[in-house]
Amino acid sequence: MPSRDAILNKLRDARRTAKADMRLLESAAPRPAAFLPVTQIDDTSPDGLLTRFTEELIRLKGEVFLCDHDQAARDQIAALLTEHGATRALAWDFACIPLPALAETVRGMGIDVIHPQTHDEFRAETLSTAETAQVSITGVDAAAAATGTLIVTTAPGKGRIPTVLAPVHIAIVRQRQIVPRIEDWVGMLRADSMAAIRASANVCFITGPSRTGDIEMELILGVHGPGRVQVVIIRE
Amino acid sequence: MELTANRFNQSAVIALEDITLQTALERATSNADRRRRAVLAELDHTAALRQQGRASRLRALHDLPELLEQLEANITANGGHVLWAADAAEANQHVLDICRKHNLKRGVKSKSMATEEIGLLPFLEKHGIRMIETDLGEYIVQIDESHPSHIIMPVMHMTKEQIRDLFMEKLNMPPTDDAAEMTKFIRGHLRQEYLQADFGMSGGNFMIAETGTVVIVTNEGNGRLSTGVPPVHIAVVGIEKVIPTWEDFATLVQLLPRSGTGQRMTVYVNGFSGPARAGEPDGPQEFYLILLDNGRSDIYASDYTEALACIRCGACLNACPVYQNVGGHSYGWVYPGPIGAIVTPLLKGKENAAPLPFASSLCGACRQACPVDINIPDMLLALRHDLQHEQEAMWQLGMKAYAFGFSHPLLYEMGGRAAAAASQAVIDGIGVDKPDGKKLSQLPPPLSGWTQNRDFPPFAPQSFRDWWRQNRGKK
Repeated sequence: MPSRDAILNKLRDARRTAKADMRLLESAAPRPAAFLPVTQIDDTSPDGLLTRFTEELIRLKGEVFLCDHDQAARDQIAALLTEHGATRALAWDFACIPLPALAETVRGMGIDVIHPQTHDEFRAETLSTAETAQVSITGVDAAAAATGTLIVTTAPGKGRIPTVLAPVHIAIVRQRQIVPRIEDWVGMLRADSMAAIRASANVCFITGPSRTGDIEMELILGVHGPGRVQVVIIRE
Repeated sequence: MELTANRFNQSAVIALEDITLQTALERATSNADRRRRAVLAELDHTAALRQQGRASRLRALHDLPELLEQLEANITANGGHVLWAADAAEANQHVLDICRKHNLKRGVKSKSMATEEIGLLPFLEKHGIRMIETDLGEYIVQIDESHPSHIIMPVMHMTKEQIRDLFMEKLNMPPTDDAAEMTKFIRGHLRQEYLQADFGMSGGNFMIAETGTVVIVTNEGNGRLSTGVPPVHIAVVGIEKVIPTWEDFATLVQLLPRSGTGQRMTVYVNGFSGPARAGEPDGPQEFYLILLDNGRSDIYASDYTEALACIRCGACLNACPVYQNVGGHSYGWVYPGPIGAIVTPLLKGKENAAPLPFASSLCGACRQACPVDINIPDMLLALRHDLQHEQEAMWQLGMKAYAFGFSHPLLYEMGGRAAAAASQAVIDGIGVDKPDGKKLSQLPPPLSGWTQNRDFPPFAPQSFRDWWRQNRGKK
């Protein structure tokens, strides 16, 4: 691998010369024992986090639906599916969504549920069918209150396509999944040597609906990803 | 893309007289700069966070070779492939080889300055591989057969009407003046591209060494579709983008959108640690990372290493009074604005971009806007020093005479008197045409260049030194 070694050798040689800018790099502050979090969050009680998450997501034109128990959440999702006139939905495996009996609710409405698998010979058919879905339904790994962010990793049963392909994304969140900040989620993973990241091919932080400002900086939602992000939160 | 940085002065004059461009620039840069200030002002520890981000970048650059090795080891362990490219030609060849190996004919791409830098799309097209840009702005640039004029707002130089006409002409869009309708049309137009693509491509905003994760940030969702749906994903990323840990990342990924677009978070922050794992339902089955040098190791070895700390937020462009007036295309290459005025000469050769370090008033707005506090003005000044030999002989002689005069008090005083007498002579000779009678609108050659675009204030008849001698005894 000639280029690899040439590049690495050149970088190492440069560092040994200790020119002015190398001294600048050497003088950089050492890695802090604790990084300063970017955002402030005053109330980290469960209800405080719920309130902050809701405020942040609404500010980004996302939608939040608070439910007091599982049945209320299933009813809420059924109402949303009806509102969207859904006949076909993309979804994570229901076992990966922390709301029991959701599969029965959705299928009971006569909705065709697809869990897109793109690694088999039916890939093309799967994708062209998936494209016609009006909504998608997923859980989350965590939600960060200070920025209104949904955090999703991939795993068996948890694909990327349901989080991005359909025009509406319905995400189901249990209140205990809400952490104060992205930094706090990283901190939780650190305690386990980042195992959750290492076990997964992809992690995505989703903050509000898809948006663009490319045409004269006018805000338009839903350019390629979902234009509506509807988060159903089950209080605990 | 073709390098035209040495034509900066000519391009800038054209840009200054383009009224449409001036309107677009004013709107985009002032909006973006205002939003940046607002979302940074709401933080409690803005200055400390900026230094925290800066230290993260500087430590990462110090440990660059080790971090690259760690990144490579982790991505390889995750089942991905890491390829190294010394220059643009090698990077392009890597992509072509991958395309041939997997028989890839059509691709979709999310926004990347690195692929713009290496001229990937024209290269692939020449070899029969079709690549569609999927970021709305980049797609507009692609069908317009032009180039982005801003790092994060690629078509900020175009008006809605120009974009509408382009869509109607090239894509047969039904007539509409509504940006939402235009966007919806493009959503539908590009849908099948994602689903039918053989491969997806991206750049990378950060590479996290400890887990072997390449991160891209996009607002539109095109990045997640381009990298998540097709069976192969190829990322081309500059070697300087590596950082050690997720804690460093958590700071930088929030400083980036706050500084760039004035958002608290980008909508989709998407991290890839290799191909889809066993049992995962979707995602690419092959993952390639091409680590691009293309002059970066030369910068590392130069006196301008700090320039590599840049996280490409674009804040210095929006804050720069020169960029605000001349726009991105005047800079004549991929990276415009203050950081471009440093990076372009360093990557493409100083003599090939000689006017750029001089295209600054050294006001310092760029450094003030930079989320990682890069000392852009000092680097511009140092580049000017390096480029002294490129300056005209007359200018060099003039500067030498200036230095001599200002370091000899007698000569300085005589010079002041001579200048006062000379400006009076011009007033007597050609007169003043300003109502207040205090500004010269036309100087004789060889000084007439100065008054072509601005007035010249005449020297006072009496110098301060003379006045002081006369008045210092008085109350």
